[in-house]
Amino acid sequence: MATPEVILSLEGVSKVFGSGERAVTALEDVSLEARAGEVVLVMGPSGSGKTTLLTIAGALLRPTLGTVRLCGTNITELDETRLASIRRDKVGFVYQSFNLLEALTALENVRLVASHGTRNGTMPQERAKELLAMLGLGHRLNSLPKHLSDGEKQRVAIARALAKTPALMLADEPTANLDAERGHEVVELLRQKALEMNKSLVIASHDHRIRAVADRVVWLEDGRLRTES
Amino acid sequence: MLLVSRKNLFSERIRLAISVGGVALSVFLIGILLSLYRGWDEKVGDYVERVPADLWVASEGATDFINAASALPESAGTLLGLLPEVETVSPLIVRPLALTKEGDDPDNDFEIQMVGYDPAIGLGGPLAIVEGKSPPGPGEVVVDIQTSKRYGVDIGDRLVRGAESLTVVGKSSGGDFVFAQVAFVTLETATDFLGLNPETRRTFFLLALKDPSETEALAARLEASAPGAAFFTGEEFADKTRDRIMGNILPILVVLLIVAFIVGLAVAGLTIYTATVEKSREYGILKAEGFTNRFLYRVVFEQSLVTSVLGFLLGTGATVLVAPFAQDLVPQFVVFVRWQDLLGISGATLVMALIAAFIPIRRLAEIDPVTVFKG
Repeated sequence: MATPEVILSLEGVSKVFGSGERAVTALEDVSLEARAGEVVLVMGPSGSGKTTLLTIAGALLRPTLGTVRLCGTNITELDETRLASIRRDKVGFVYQSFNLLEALTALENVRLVASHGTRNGTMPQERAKELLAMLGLGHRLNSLPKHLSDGEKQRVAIARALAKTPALMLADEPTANLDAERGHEVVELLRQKALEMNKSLVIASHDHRIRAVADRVVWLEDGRLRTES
Repeated sequence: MLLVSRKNLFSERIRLAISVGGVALSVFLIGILLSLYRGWDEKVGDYVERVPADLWVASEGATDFINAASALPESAGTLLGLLPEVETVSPLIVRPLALTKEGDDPDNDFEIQMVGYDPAIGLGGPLAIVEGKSPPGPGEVVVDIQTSKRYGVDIGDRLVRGAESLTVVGKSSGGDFVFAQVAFVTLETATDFLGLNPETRRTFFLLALKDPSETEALAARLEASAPGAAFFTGEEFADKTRDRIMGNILPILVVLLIVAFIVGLAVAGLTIYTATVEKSREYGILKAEGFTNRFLYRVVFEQSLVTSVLGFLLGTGATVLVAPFAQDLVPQFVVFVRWQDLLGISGATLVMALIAAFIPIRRLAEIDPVTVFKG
């Protein structure tokens, strides 16, 4: 059986905010790979650099040192427009606070991203409906975020992340605003869909209860990668 | 239109109403002011332009019909009549004066521009009779229909000035200068009523030429050979009369137009800006999802454009609907709504939309998508 493709590769990545005496090192010499169909869990306490790692992996932030490759493309040197197109086509985000657009219904939130991302032959409206139905929200298509429960909002966010058919999905503390049962349900759903669609899924969390869903757990402390299990 | 623009705009109904209302108010003010300008511009030169004279002759220094500080001897008319190009010479006595309707409080006087003309020639007399008779006889006057409407002057009424009085026998149209209207009497009545001395003094002479195409050439020739007199074509005299009145109004009007534009721009700009600031996080989400700054600019511009278009439609509608009612209530409120002006206002509204959308552009560019990762 062939080795799955490397989707995300970080080589010697460091990130320093500020300069001189006020410089703060958020990441130091971090190297990490995530392959298609793999779930990598980045764990660590608050302020350990998890979110910085995720934003660098998601082409939102440039590293101070090191190289980031997404689907084989070195994104470290790309300009803002190219980075935006990388995010549009290759990366799906699931955020801690869901980050749905409040004026748009569940369907519109997903459709907006589906119509903007890479076309996969299905019409955005149909694809958005399919994804929401697949995530058990077929009956909530026209609901505004304010009328959805937190668990439902996170499922809409997952549908939105999948709508672009990304190679890499990045989830930042996806269970932080959910109770234990909903949190477990959402992470399980994320894992299931990532595997079904052969995505690489990187989750940043300090929630130990979700370790079971990961193929690999990476520990981050004070910006350094400590151990892998 | 983009989904995000439409949804952002219509999900905040109160903000939209305020924004559209602000633009509509601005458009309404601009529309009314421009219509008022056009209406006045048309009215104040109307009589002079429509009098079928090829040349207006005045004494040197007289510039227009309103500033009728012109005095010419009657003999000048006789000389002008000898010119081979001249078909008709009509003398006019024009004086601004205040009159009172007999029986009214003397404080309730009103301004008229008395025009004494020769009914036998007719040139310079009433343009059209609406009611009653014309020409007026001795001691009689034909007033403008606007004088009748504004001051309740009717046929049979007596208009008083000191010990003198005139009887209203007819109403004419086309002699409204907004702040005053022409009233026609015979030359003899004007001389008696005004107590002119010497009796032979005239204000203007109107010339009708045998060949109107020679008007300008004749004016130039007379200008050179007749010092002490000034010669104007009908159109030129009408323009100078308009300029005299409108030239004083225009600077005020321009200031008011600028203020109206700034009001619309401020309301639209502030509401678009605050909406953008409030939605900063959502714009950050869009950036994180791979939407470019250009897309976000378009979202903001579309919101600004739709706000402005709705404001324009509402403001224009209000202008077209309110103007006639205002005119009925306040006769001096003479408005003329021109489609060319509405087109110009639509252009100003578009500029308003562009500037209002431009204000938050820097703010949009500065939004860091990384911030959306903060809970």
